[in-house]
Amino acid sequence: MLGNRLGPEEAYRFARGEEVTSSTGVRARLQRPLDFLVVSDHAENLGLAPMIEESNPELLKTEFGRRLHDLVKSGKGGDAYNAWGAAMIARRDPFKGNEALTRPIWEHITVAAEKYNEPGKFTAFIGFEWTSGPSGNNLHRNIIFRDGKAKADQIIPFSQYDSEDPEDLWQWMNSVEQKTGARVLAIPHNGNLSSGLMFDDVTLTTKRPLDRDYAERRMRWEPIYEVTQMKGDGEAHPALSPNDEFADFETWDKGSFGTEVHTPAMLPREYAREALKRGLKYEQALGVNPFKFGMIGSTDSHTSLSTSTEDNFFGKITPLEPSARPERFDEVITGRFSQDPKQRQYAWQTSASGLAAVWATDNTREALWDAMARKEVYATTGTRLLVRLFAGYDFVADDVQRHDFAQFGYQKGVPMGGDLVAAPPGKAPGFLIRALRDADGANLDRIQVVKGWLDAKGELHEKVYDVAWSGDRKPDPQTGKLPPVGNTVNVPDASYTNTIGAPLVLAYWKDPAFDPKERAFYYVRVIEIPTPRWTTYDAKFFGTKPPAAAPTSIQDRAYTSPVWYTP
Amino acid sequence: MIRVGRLFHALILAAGLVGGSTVAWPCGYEDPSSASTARGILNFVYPDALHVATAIWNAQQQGVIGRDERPAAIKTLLGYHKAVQRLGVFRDSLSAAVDGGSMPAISIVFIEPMLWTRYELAGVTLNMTPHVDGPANGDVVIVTDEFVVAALNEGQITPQAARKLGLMRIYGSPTAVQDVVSWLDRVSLRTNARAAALDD
Repeated sequence: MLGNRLGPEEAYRFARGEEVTSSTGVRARLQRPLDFLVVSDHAENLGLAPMIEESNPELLKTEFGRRLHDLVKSGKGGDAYNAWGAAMIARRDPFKGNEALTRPIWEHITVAAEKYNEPGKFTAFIGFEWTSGPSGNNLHRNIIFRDGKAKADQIIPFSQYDSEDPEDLWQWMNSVEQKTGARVLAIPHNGNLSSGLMFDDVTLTTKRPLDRDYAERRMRWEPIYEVTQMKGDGEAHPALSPNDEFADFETWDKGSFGTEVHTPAMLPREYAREALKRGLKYEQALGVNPFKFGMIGSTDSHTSLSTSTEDNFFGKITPLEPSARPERFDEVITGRFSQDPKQRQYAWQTSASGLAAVWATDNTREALWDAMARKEVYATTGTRLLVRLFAGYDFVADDVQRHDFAQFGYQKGVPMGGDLVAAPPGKAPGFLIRALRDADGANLDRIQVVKGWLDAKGELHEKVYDVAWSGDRKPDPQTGKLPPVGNTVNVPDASYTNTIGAPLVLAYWKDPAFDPKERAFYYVRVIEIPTPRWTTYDAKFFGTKPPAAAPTSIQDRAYTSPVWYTP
Repeated sequence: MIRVGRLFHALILAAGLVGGSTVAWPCGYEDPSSASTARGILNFVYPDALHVATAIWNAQQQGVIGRDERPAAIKTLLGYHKAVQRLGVFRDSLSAAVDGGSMPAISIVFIEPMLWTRYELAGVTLNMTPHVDGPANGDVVIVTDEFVVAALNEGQITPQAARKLGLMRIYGSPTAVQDVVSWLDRVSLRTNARAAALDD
């Protein structure tokens, strides 16, 4: 509604590799098509903007709809937005129960998905976004259907008008499955903007401590988490992981969309690594881990253009699409209400991220959805590097070179998202890891394994291991720290070369500090060599001056879903 | 003038949603941070209005029209007055092309600062009111920018070429739009050979 003129059809066409003209008149086409996409529009008054534009007769039958329509058509679009926004904030649905309005738009979306879904070639998921934001704190979830239009059309999307509480969403999802036979899952995002609510220790409404039932329901409905996207990276935070030199990556930690002042105490309940660690403790106490999630990335684009790389970034919303105008960098995204300018996050801090990578047996709704449900997924911060991980007790170093790597990995171990239990006496988990750079992208710097564990005293720990790297670098004998890979970025030219790093990095790693009595998780982080950040590309293309505080280069990366170890 | 309410921005950026207490279009000369939001809404109310911005950038890259090379401080101090001055020159050209019939009122918006200006005939006089809240009911709306108008004033480009290149888009009822197109085409401009070539 902020000027995006493209609908679901254009979004799917763009993802499939077709050229579209953006809402600001820029011809746009992806260098390579995507394999799958969900158009996940906000459920709240779905389709209101196009209904106003087309003078929808059903809309005009309602007093509120006619008022908005007349305001827009008489040039008072701002007033129309305000009237609708007031209803949003008050959580009073002005069209409550009016399926004549919602259903056609929902079916318009499902028709588009059905039209562009081509099993084996391109998967168009059906989905929507539940925009829960208590006091402006972000608890948004994307709801993804495994099934097609026939089942999806039997429901009307659940909105924040219905409830802001995720437990109510899960109840609704359960009712959808019961009623339609469909399968659905929810993917939360932007815990970093939740003021500590995303991975809280209490339930949202009743403020009860998390219990086993809550943990079971959460993991039943939310097996994966969107760990990286435009509004910041949520894998780790430098204050929580001070020994992790790569933790401060595209960090957005100033607050939320509301007025609540952000405090450091909120951080552990906002970032994925900390939640994964705390989940171990919950599992020990409850018998079930409420934060046992896999990890993906996505764009959260509101332009209908799923661009995620530094050199093709179209921005968060239509007014921030590529241009030489100051707002491309300077628009305030969050923290607008704070008296302290330091609380603000600006458009230049928007991250050209991310993508969801899925290891599936086929490119179909069913196969991709099933892989997400079993957490055999990983996140990238926008590029298409390939990462594969198997964990087991019987791997040896040479196995990483096997021609039947995947088949062997499944036979002898578990993939990302899997579980290892009760290590045989004298054995420790071993990991086979392969990482291949994006075919059109940057070489790789290193492969790391991030381990989190719960010790016998009930204390949580983490450690990041460099397990394989490019070149002949040697870790510092004193600190163990691996020297940086270097940086070939030419800032004025917005260019880099693959003269450093390696296109393929392989690793076999066995946990040297494994204690079979301790709960643990392990996930892989793959770091690329530095490339120009999108702000650097923009400055070169438009001849503008990049923000002084913006990094000129960036090391994009991938995060796999963890493998958990349970004694 | 204007004013963008706190809620307005809150919702916008929460989810690409909007709300608040504004009563008119924000003007970037008063509140630069409001202009981007206003441009987004403009694109919704006037379909593809933002294509003008991209067309202008392309035209400037190709040297078809001038670009703003002024230092930021000068632009801040004098930008509004210079823009209004150029709108005044354009008003004079439009005024000279009035054919005696009744003409629709025109609201012209400079898309960069989101500055709205109204031209309205009063008898034989074409009144200009810069810095209005937005278009009045029934106005024909012209979406363009200061350097397009400057190029028109200087005869670097014709109105026909400006439309052809997407440097201005005109919105309103079909009849009123046609009236304004004809009006623009009667404007006597110091057309040079380059502008004429663009018409081919």
